[in-house]
Amino acid sequence: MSIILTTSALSKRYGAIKAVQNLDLEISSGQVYGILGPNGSGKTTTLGMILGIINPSSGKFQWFNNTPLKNALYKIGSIIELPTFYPYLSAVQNLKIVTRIKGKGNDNIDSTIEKVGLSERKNSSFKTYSLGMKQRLALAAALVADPEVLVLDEPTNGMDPQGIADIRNLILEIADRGTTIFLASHLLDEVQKICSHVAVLEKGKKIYDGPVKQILKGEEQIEIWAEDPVLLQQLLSEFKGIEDLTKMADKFIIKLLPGPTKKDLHKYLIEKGVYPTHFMSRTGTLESKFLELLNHGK
Amino acid sequence: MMRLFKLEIQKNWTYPGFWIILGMHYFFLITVLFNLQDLAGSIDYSDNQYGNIDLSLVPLLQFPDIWHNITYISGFFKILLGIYIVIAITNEFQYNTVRLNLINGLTRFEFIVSKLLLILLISLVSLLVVFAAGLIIGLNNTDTATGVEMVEHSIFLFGYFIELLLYLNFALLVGIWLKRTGISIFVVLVYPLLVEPLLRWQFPDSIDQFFPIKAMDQLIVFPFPKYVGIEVPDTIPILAIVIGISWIIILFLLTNLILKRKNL
Repeated sequence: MSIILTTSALSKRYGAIKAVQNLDLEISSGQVYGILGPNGSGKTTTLGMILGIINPSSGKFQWFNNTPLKNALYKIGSIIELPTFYPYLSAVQNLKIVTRIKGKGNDNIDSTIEKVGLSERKNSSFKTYSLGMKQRLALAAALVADPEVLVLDEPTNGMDPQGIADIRNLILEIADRGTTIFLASHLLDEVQKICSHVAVLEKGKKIYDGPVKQILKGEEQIEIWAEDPVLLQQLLSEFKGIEDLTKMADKFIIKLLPGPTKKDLHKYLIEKGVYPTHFMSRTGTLESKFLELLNHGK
Repeated sequence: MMRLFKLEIQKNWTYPGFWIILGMHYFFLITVLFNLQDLAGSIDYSDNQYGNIDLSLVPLLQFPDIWHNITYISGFFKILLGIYIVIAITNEFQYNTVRLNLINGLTRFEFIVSKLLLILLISLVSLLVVFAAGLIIGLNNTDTATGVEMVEHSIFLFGYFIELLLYLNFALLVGIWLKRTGISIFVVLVYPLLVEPLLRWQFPDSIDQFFPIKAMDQLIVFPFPKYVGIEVPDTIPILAIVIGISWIIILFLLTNLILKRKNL
């Protein structure tokens, strides 16, 4: 696996505001890397720096083993903040601008427009598009030159639920083909659904990074209920290997300690004559972990 | 280079403002040049500091004088070209398309060069229009003109070309610097008319020839006093050309420096 992007001590100050502080990231090929953080945590500034539109105050970044930025950008497709295009040009004409800059041909333009679902309006001028259509064109611009890497800043911003689902599926499909994706979002469930790795930013500082599976490990919870809740509660508290027994109106929520499995627990209850009417395992969400990480710093 | 030129054409060709503003420029320019002799008669020069001349009686449009006279007049219309350059560059900031260009691999330097190519194109077309108009009008107004007489003084065409490049590079710099259309047009109009003259007023002539607008104005000086016997040079001093070209280079480098330091 080759390294696609590294940043070392990358920082950006705007006067007294430290938008990004000493950021170290490493993204390898094939990863779907999410960069998470609340609004104003420095996600867009970070993407702006690695794409060359914001000058870093200090620190460095490197694409593809020190390829010059200009050449690296030919191989990168990107969306940054709001979609920006020439309002008087059509989707096709705007994409021709992109392929001209990248020194590529126009063969892909129609199929890319088709892929993002914009074919019907491909010859109308950009200024007549809805926000969702603009966002689709932005994705088309990112894809049109067959990029090795996609850099996406809030790619589903302003889209309706159908649009969000379309774009997510498209991103997953692209990731399946081995394209490396670097995605910034404040939508946690989006990152959880799409990303393999994640970095969490807060006030410009990285407070966590690692595989998404890692961050959610140990977050498995079990919901359980039986006809005799009193007996169930008693048995559960006697079972060795349970922590955090929470009683809700119609279920208990428990967390297993390392050691006993769900099967062991089930077997134990049946042996004691209690047949659970509800037994469900659920993984923790990135949301709960994320809030935990943010609160940890306070 | 061809890639940048084609890119700039793609951006401008279907932009209505491109055709409207440039169309207005060439319409006014050609109309005035072809009617210059009549228009000159309608101007009252009786209070002029140069004495009483009736320009309608003066052969303004004969070779070789015509080149100095029409390039001087043509210079006034460049304001429209300057306004278009400001719009072409500030649009990129207003629409935020400068980002679209950069994230796809255009460097900031290439971005400026592509605008410089637009400036070169517009200046060359204007030069050709004035040259063609001069030839046609000159031939109609000169009874017998030898080839030598026809191209004599054509250095003023070169002066006109330098004047356009200087002015349009100035407009480009203002647009890149201020990013907003309205205020940039205001500065491009007011600086040459008001700001620089006030600045120059503090300096002796030996220094104020180095100011950018002065450098532009002294390429083609006011030609008409020669018709009341006051001496007007019938060529452009080398120093004026050197200062003019130097300013084009300085403005271009400054524009690059400004864009390089901007977060976009």
